[in-house]
Parts: sequence; structure tokens; C-alpha cells
Amino acid sequence: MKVSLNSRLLKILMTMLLVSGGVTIWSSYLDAEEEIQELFDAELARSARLLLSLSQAGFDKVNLSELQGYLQENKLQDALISEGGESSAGHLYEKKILFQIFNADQKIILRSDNAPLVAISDKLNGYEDVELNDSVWRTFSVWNRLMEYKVIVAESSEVRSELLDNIMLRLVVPYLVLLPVLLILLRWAISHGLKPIKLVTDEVSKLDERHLTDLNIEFVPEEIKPLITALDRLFERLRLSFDKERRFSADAAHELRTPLAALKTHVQLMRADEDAKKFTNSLDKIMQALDRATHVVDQLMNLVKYDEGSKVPTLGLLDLRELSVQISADLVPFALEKNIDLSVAETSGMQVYGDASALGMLIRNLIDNAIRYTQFGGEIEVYFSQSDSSVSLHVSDNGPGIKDDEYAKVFERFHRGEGHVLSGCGIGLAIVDEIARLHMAQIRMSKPEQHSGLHVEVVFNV
Amino acid sequence: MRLLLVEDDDLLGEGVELGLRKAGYAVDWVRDGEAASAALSYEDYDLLVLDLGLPKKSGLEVLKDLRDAGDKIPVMILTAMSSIDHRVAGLDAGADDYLTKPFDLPELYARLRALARRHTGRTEAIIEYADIQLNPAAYEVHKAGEKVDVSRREYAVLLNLLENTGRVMSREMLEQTMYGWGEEVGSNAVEVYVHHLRKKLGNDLIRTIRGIGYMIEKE
Repeated sequence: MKVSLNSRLLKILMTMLLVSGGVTIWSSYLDAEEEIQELFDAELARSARLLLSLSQAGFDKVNLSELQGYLQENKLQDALISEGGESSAGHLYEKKILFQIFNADQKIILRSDNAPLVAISDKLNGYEDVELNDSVWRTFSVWNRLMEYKVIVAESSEVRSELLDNIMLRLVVPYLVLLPVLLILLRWAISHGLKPIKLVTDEVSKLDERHLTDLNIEFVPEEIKPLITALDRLFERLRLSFDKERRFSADAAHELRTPLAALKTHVQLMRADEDAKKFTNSLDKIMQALDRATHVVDQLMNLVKYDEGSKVPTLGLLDLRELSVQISADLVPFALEKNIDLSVAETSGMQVYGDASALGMLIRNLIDNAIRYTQFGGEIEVYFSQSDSSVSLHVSDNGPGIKDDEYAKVFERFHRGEGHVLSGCGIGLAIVDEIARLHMAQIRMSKPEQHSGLHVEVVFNV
Repeated sequence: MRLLLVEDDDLLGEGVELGLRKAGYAVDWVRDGEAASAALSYEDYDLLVLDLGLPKKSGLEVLKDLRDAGDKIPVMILTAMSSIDHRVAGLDAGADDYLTKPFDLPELYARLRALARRHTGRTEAIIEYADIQLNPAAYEVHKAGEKVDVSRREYAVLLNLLENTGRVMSREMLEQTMYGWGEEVGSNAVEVYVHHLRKKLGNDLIRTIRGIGYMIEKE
């Protein structure tokens, strides 16, 4: 599962924001509803008592049917109501308020024009919610003390709910509008707050296994310090185990040299002895095997030396040709054994920055490989080329070359070419690869243009 | 010739001791650094063959004490370390030559002979190669018994190549040996001297390795 501190924080904060916002709005809603209920109920009761008092004061002297007629006559004309429900003539909501006045016999003696002809509520006294024309009405019923008149005042609950809805809308809309803004602000705040983590990450990503120097970051926040300390300790352990492994390989190779030397010495003593003449052939084979074992030990030591985790070489300005001549001079006897024509081109000014012993090892391995894989009487050319930004070393032979699908594999350790020769051990090009990597040089391999064989180019940036 | 062999490995020590005896040396063999220092202070040796990784006292320490005491005995180092640093350390500490294990016995004999020769002066050693004789004492070269006239610098080139048969000597290396013989050397001087030597001693003697240098093959 992918864990992002950023989105995790954002999720938590957004949830908290939504829950707290919801709770606030919900409680405000309940509060408003209660207040509105109380206010409207009080209003309802007061209107009822006013009507009751009026009834009591003068209904015995008034012609009730005339009064009912006037009520009808003064009724709000629908046509006068404008869209908004409000005008100088009245208000749409008048239809949502009604009253009924009863005499002692429970007969309606007066009612508002929108009131039904039967009692809207059966209750003797007090509030009740009743259903009328598919909506709920809040009613208040009251008798006068002598039970001569009863008044019922009713109000459609739509009035209240519409008001409540309005209040709700005012609360929710700004909140919903603000939410995306808050989201953006939160994102910024979080990424700003987590910046030190990015700094540490950048610093750590600059490290690789060859440069395990202790992390050095100023202004590290307290929370990350334990992580840094732990990383430091891990790196130290890694460094120690790298060193140990390298030392082990070097020691092992070193310890093999003395017994190999003993073997070789005794074989040579036998070779020189007349009595051992009939074993000459076997002794020669033993010598060949010994040379091969020695070569493997040497190459292993070289590989360990320039392997991952080894020190960056000491750089100095070197003449590639001079170095190639030195190395070639050492290898000429081996080339002559196979009657191979090894030559180094005469070019001056081929200078690169590098470590003399490491680059010497690179050149030695390339030429040594060419000698090993090129047939009797073959040709090996070492030459150089130059461009504005690079200097190249070329080693080209007219041996069998390598197959197209083998080019990528040759740098693998212990890989040996098809039809490999007896003396190779498959580490040479791995060493070349490591040394090139230490010098940030590229290796290109191809078939020579003119003939079969292998052409290796090592490109040094200058 | 008395020779002290210092080698802690029994198998190798035995082989080298036997080989050196067969080559005509009177060999004493000790197995650690302290014994080596003791032997060197009591006895007079003509040659020292010294392993570097020794118990009790390292080969480098033995060598340093020896040189500090003013002993000029020729020292051949045997080392299992192939790295250049170790070789340089050995030579800096006063060794005359080194061989990396594993080595060829004939190579060891040849190097020891050269060490002894250098130590005693080369007066007696006449170098012979095929039908050519080179006498360093008289700066004389003979081919098939007849004296051949060579200039001092031609002689220097020939001596160098004959002393290093089987090894390619680069032009720079040959030029350096000639500086010791006097005047400045021109840019293509080596080619000229090699050309002269071929004329006088035969075309096949000195082999040109294109772009690398010259060599006389091992006999």
C-alpha cells in the first residue's frame, strides 16, 4: 500500500473539518428550529387570545354574517400578489394563516376566508398539529373562561420550514464555497510544513553506495532527527560490511598466492629433473592450469580493488598513449607467443584525467582479452581519437569478434565468449566496466568496419 | 655464494631452498623476521631473498633495520601483494628487486645473478646471445668471434636490450639509458642506432614492435 504523509494529513484534516462543520450546522439548525417554533407558537397564542377577547367584547352586538361578508370582501386578491409574494396589498403567506371562531354550541360563527367549515382541531385547549389539504398545520385552540366562545388559530408549517430552510441555506452555502479554498490552503500548509522531509530526501538521494559519507543536513526538525541518526548508523554498518567483504576477498586471493607459488616452484623443480622427463607433458599441463589459476586470483584481486564501494581513484592528467605503450610493452611477449602483431598508433596529446594504475589495468585487460581471443597470426591495433569534448582509446582486433546477441552479456562476471579460450576467466571486461564507471567513461563495442573481429572504444569526457 | 632465504611457508620455502641449492647457492633458510635479523647479524651473506609477510617481524622491518645498520647486501623481495603500493614500499625500504608470487624459478635465478653481478661490478660478466658476445668491461662487441665496431650509444642500446631479453623496451626507456652516456639525444636517435646495430649484427636480432618499442627475443 502506498503511504503518503501528505495525503494522509490532508485526509485527516479534511475529515475533521467536514465533521466539525456538519456538527456546527446541524446544531445551529436545531437551535433555530426550536427558537422559531417558540416564537411562532407564542404569536399563534397571542392572535387567538386577541380574537377571543374581541369576540367576548362585542359579538352579541354584531351582525356576524355581515362581518363574515366583510371578511370575504376584504380578502386578498390573488392577482395583486406579485412574484415575490409580497406587495402593498398583502402577503402570499396570508393564505397560510387561518382562524375559526365557535360559539358555545361548537358552531362556527366566524372564520377566515381560507378556513374550512368544520373545526380544524378537536382539541379543547392548546396546540396540535393537524393535517389539512396535504400539509401540516399548527393549531392553537382556546375557550374563554365562561365557555361562550372558542377560537382556533392555525398556521401552515410550511411557513416555519421555509424560514428554517432559508436559515440553513445561509449557513451551508458559505461553508460549501469555502471548502475548496480551505482544501487548497491546507495542501499548501501541509507541503510547507513537510518541507524539511523533502530536504532530507534530497540529501539522502544524492548518496550512493560508493559515497557513504555521513549525512550532513542543517536545520533538521526534531521529529526527523532520530531517522537521520538511524540512517547514519545504517550507513556506518554498510560501510563496515563493504570494507569487510572487500578485505575478505583480497585476503583470500592473497592467501592463495603463496600455495600457488609453492606448487609452481615444485613443478619447475620436477621439470628441470632428468628423471621426470617422461612426465614433461603432464607437467606442462599443470603449469598451464597454475597460470590460469594465478590469472583468476589476480583478476579477482583487481575486481575487488575497483569494485563497487571502492575508493574514487586519485585523478591526475595522464597521457593515454604513454600508458598504452607501457602496458603493451608488458604484453608483447604474450602476443608474440601467438605471433600476433600488436601495435600502438603514434598520436600525441591524448590526455585524460584518471588514475594511472586503474587506467593501466583497463588497458591491460582490453589488450589481454584481444590477445586471448585472437587467432594465431592475428592483428591487434591500439589507437586514439579526439573530439571537442572527448578523447577515445580504441582496441581493435581481427579475431572472431562477438555475436550480436552477446554484446550486452560480455560485461557480466564470469561470462565467457562462445568458443572461449582456455586461458580466459571471464572477469576482464567486468573489471574494465568498473574502472570505466569510476572514470565516468563510456564503453562502446562494435565489429570493425574493414574485417571481422572486435572493436572496443573507451570514451573519456574531457 | 651464501644466500639467506626468509620464507614462512614450508611448502614454498622447501621448493625455493632446493631450487637455489641446485643452482649452486649455499642456502640458509629461516621462517620468521626475528630469526632473519639474527642470522643477518651473525653471518655474512652475499644475497638475501626476503618474503614480506612474515611472523614476529615483517619483511619490511627486517629490511629497514638492515639498511639502517649500513648493510649493503643485495635484497630480492618475494611478495604475495601485487599492488604497486607494496612494490614501491619494498623498493623504498631498500630492496634491489622484487618478484610477485607465484614466480618462475628460472626468473628468480636470472634476477639473483643480475643482482650479484651489479653488486660486485659487471667486470667479469660477459653477456652472450647467439653468436654475439658483449663485454661490458671493455665496451666491446664480438660477432662470431670477430670484433664489431659500435659507437658508445649503439653499445648502450644493445646492452639494454640484451639485459632485458624477452621484454619490449620503449623508445623513452632506451633514450633514458643513453642520457647516462653523455650528450643529449635527438628525437629519432634510437631508430638510427637500431638501424646501425641491425646493419652490423644482422637484421633479425632486434625486433621492432610498432608504436611500442624494440626487443631482443629470449634465447
